[in-house]
Amino acid sequence: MDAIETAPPALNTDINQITKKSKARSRLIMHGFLIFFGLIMLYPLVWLAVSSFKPSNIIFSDTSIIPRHFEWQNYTKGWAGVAAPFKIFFKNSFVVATLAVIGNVLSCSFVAYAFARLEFSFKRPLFALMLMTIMLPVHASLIPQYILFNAFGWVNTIFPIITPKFLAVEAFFIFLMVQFIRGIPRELDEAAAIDGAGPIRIYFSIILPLLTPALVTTAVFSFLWTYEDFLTPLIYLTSIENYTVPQGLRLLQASRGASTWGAMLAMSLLSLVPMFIVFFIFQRKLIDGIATTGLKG
Amino acid sequence: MSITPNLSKKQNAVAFLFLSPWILGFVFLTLGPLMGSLYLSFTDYDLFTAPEWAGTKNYAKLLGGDPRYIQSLKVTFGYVLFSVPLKLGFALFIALILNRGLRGLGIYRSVFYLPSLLGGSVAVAIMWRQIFSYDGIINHFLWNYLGYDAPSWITNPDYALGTLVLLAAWQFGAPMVIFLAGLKQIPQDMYDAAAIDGARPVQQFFYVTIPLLTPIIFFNFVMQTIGAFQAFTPSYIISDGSGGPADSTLFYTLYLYEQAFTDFQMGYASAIAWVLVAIIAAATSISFLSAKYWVHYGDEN
Amino acid sequence: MTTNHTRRGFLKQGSGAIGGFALTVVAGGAMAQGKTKVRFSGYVESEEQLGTTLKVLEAYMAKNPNVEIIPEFSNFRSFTDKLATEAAGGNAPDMFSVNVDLLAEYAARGVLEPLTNWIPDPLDVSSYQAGSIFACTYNDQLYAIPNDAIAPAILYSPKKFEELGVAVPPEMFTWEELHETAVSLSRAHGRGFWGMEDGGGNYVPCDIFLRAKGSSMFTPEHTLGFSAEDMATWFQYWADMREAGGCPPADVAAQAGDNSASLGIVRGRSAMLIQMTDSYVGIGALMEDPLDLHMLPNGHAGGEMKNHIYDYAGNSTGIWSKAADKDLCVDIIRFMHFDPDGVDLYYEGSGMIPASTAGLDKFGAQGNREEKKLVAYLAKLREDPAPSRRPGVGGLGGMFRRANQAVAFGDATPLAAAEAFIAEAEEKLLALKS
Repeated sequence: MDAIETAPPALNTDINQITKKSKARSRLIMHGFLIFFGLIMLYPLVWLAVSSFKPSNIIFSDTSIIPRHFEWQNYTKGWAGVAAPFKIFFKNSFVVATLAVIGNVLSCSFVAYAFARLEFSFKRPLFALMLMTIMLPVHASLIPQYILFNAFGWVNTIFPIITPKFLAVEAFFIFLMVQFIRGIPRELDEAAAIDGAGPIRIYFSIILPLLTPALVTTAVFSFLWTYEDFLTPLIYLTSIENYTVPQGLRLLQASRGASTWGAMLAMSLLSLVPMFIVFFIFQRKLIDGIATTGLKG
Repeated sequence: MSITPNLSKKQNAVAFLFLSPWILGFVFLTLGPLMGSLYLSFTDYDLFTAPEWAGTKNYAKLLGGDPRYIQSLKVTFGYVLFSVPLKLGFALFIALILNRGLRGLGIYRSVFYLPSLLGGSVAVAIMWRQIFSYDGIINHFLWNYLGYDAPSWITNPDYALGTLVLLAAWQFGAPMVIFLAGLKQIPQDMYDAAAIDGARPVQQFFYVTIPLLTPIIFFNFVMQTIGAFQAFTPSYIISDGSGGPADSTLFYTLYLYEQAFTDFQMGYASAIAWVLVAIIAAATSISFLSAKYWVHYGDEN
Repeated sequence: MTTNHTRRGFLKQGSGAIGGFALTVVAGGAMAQGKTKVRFSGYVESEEQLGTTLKVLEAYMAKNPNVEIIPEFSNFRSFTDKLATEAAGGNAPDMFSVNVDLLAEYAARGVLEPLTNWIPDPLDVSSYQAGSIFACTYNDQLYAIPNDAIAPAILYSPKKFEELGVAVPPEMFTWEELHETAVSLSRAHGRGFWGMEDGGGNYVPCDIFLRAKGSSMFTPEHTLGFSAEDMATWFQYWADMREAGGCPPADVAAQAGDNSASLGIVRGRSAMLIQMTDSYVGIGALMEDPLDLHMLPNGHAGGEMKNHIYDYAGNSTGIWSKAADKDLCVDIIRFMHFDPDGVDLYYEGSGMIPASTAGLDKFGAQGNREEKKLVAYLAKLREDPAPSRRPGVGGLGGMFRRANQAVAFGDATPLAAAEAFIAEAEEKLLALKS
């Protein structure tokens, strides 16, 4: 992640036109701005972190940002859980989120390639139809969908969450990849076609490598959004042992109890950690990016 | 356009091979629920007894001026109008800054994404109250340093929707990442070519970066607009599911949800849903028509 | 219960397609052979209650090794969405919790099984206080067994009263005295503090208020028991309170919501709050200062003073009308509520106060400090019991809160708000009867 590697072309090409001094100053201003802005953005999270170490009876009355002492019990009690240890919820979330990544990356890139590059009958109406599927609010199709999945015998299994990902139901990602593929110059395909490559080979040898930023983006969002989704697991993962993290947090949110607020905040914070790690690892892929130079024929 | 004859022909067989996951998913998973909900919108359905055909009654009811429905329309249009530009503006601005060669980029990127990780969790509701309620941090400053006794922003009908717009802007991480990915995909040789032609950085920005990013700007715009029309969670968690105070954060989908799952009027709720489909489809079609004039695809020139 | 076969069958084919990986999350219960499975869904109001519920279910399974109870608990709001979807999809849990408003909705539409055939054997509810039984009754049939007894109360901070030099009102007092007390507290403190939280959006105290005037929210025939003018006096009462500074302005009041973390009494900006007793322990746990219980006003100035406060079932357990083995479900309920071994496990340390008089007596002797206070409060109400409340309609809480907010934010007069509320409630009652 050093500066040279990430320096965009705009700065490289005219590096001599700017004096080192003014460049250093503009960088300093930039850092100052980002840090200031970052701190404002982070204040609520700092509050969350601090509060997760406070005993429940002062979380909401003592507003100081420095805890008087650290209440580790919030973490130990929350982690141990009442109905099931929290690690089970983490494991369940990991399984569905990982499968969702695989499903979405595979299926959506196939479909996007067809829409972006191939010519076929009813292309425009099918594309419109695909977009339309995400315009209906979830609550309106919840019950017909439940009836369908129940008829399949899928209730209390992960299939209602996972199967749609493998069958490219998330038009968001298809549309995303279509836009990225359409940004790839068509001359590359044509050059390959002249060399005798068919659509399948073009997909694997030209499009897929150039699509890396979009694939990484899809992978990150598939993981995060499946991990934090609440409604689908609520309806389909019915028994406590199959709950995901957001459902586990709702169990702690039964707000009339004596001891749950501190534990709920603690587990909320902890539930962010895997997401943060996944994001941090994947975003490096975005930085590294891809070298498109030289590919153009 | 220089498309070889080989590529311009219809390629139905191979195309439908690539499309097959989506077609299977559409036929077996999506189509049924979609048609089911369309059918229900023409019925009286209380969830537990069989739906009864009601013709266009539900549509007549909502077009006939259900006052809370109209309120939900107003709230939602206001939210779309303000939250989408604000969120996209932030996202693009930060993405452009982060795309420059600064040290510690990974940290900045992750920090700016952190709020989005919280999504619609319970913790967000509590934190937002810590900031914008009567005894929150903002009023703490206003009273202690300026002597101003400010209202409870989050539960005042004049400002409550504003705090939700700010929440949307605060969680700008997803479009930011997509912008970053888009910026990464702009080929280096485009800049090289521009530099050879003597383009200065500002010119490169306007003649290379922005035009090549338009497909991604367009994507983010369309998706954020659809998302904002369907926004549910922010109001659901912050107003405790009520859309209050005084219906000032009654999002369209929250009203739909309330009709369906609290009032057990699934037929009416389904009609509300399909009118939203029409509204979103209209907005999306306008976006697509406008795209001809400002979106530049790499496969077109 | 019957779906397990097809589910297993599907798994055999499906696991091949998606990979053995998927199996790790698939219901463990589906793997066990030869057991009768009962799905038990519900909402729990505290972690403690969840713990004791799971304990009593495990004890039942230990005694009945051929039975497997699958627990499907969540918090209230997610539970209701899930239950509605499952019931609509013809796959409701075999047994589930309901509250007094949901009960009418689910009973009227045939989702709940009437328990008539199992009364009094094995479900002998004769020792239950009438209030909790009425709350589980719809069209003269009992549809659920009460889990706990709750009643409205004024939760107050004795320390705030002391600091501000205001006397705590006597046990029996009038709504006018409550007004004066709240206003004196606000005046004694100054900016940013109000004697009590706005209670105008809560329909339970409104029922108590109306009863002191000779009407009530609902009649035993499940119709509205008041006129628009009656209800307008209630909204007017709180408008006057707001005007005089006894309770906070509309926007600050709206902060309270359903979320105990943002209540004025927790934040130290009010001294009194009208709430249901099952919130007492939870709210107290969020405060450093002690919290006490007080009766609601029981009359109006110059009128008769008589107890109008009733207790009823907060949360109760019913059976799905299409459950495969209803006798088994009844037996589980029997174990939780009537078998001494089960009752001990279910209630001890749960924070719930039993609805049966016998349970109440036992609990009053054994519970901790807070539980004893709750038991003493409920026992006091039962000295001169008021007629119980009847089931309402789903969404009642939201409708009522909106009406009060409309007045508070100046969008409607008390009378207009009352009329709008009546129109909305009657539409729902009508829908229930058709």
